[in-house]
Amino acid sequence: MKKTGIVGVVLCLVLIVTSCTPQPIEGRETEYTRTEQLIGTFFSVRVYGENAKTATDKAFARAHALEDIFSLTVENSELNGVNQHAAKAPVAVSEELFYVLSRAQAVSAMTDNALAVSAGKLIDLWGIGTDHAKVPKKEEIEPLTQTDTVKDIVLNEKEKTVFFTNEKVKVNLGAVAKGYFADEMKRVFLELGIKSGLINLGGNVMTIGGKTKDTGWKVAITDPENPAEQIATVTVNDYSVVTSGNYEKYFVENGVTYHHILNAKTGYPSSSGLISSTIIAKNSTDCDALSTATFVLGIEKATALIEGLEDTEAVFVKEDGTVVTTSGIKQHSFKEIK
Amino acid sequence: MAKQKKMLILITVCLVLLFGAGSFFVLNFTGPQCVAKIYQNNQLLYEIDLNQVKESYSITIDGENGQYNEVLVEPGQIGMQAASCPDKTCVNTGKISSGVLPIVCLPNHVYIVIDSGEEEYDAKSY
Repeated sequence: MKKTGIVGVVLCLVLIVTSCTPQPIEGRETEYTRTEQLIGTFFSVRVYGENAKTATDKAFARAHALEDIFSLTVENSELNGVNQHAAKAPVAVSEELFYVLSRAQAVSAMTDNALAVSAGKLIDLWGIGTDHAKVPKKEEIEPLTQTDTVKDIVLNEKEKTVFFTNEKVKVNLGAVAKGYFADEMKRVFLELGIKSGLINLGGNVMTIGGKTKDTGWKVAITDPENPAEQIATVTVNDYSVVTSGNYEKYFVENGVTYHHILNAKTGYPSSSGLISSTIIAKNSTDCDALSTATFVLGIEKATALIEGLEDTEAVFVKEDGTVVTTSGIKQHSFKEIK
Repeated sequence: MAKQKKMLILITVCLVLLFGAGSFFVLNFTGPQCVAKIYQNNQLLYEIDLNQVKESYSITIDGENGQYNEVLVEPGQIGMQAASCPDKTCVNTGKISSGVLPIVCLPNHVYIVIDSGEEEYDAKSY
């Protein structure tokens, strides 16, 4: 009886101690981190596994290859070539560019063109985030509105070609490409056996597996009214978390703040009543596209849209600071920070 | 009755041991590290242990064509005091004291991140 008692107490103590210790993922002990500047933002990676460095080398090599396709600042990028020639004749493009344009069109179609990747000339006109940002004249804006991402960009699936129906179109994939970079970098990591890690592409977060076998990655969502602070957290495992907010890039003219998310229909920064839109889903390309589109749509249409999508959740912040979430957000251990 | 008494003593001893181990851990825990790393053009320029900073000072990072960033280093935190960039996003980020949010100056290719071991959050979406 005495021995049984001692064994019982010792077992209880062991149980208490071990139950509080998260179990690491296989290979978790080897951490590798790297930060590089690509496509106008900083890419940070933190991955775990025996071949973490080799995998990171290959993931970044993939990102650099994609930069040559999607960047508008790389002079000879594939996208710059398409923008130069596609209004004259169909241009044959890579699988990667065709895929991202297809996803952008799909999101544009379901959001009544709220995601307008065809409005590159309008974005250039405003120049938000550059040293020549200014409020353009109404007569400058007017001709560049109403480009239609679905109708004005003709994708030929069989020939893998892109054609613009008019000269007003210039494709800018700033609202989608980072998501695709995250998906592709994750694919490389998974192929090389990485089971745990974080990819952060200028605030677009993609997670690989969980932080441990039992816990997910805790991702904070920026408070749009005070970007140094957090407004909420979600805990995710193998999901991407992407936020679009009015605080990311902006300029002030005559006391008025102009943010960078343009409504292509009006030609002006979106004023839908939302100041931040966060999407949580497995596919980061879709998260990226949907975060911008829902920001432009406004709370009612955005909520209805996300509720109708499988395994996709959202956290919206309205102008008055109110936080609105979709119905399935609990699965991601959502916590609002008051 | 005697057995119950022995069990009670045993449990008490175990609890005292646990409390002692916990106290030892707490007393010997020096707090999270807080190392700021300042990069320019993907090159690490400075690595500063903010826990060791006793008095505030500033560092000027010169870039191409007269570009500059003025970093204010303070005990436990770091911020961008001034910069030549047009958007001032880096300055407006404010001061940081954890690795959740980096300070980014895209036009001048300057990036400040804090490595503090265990963070309250693993990443920040923005």
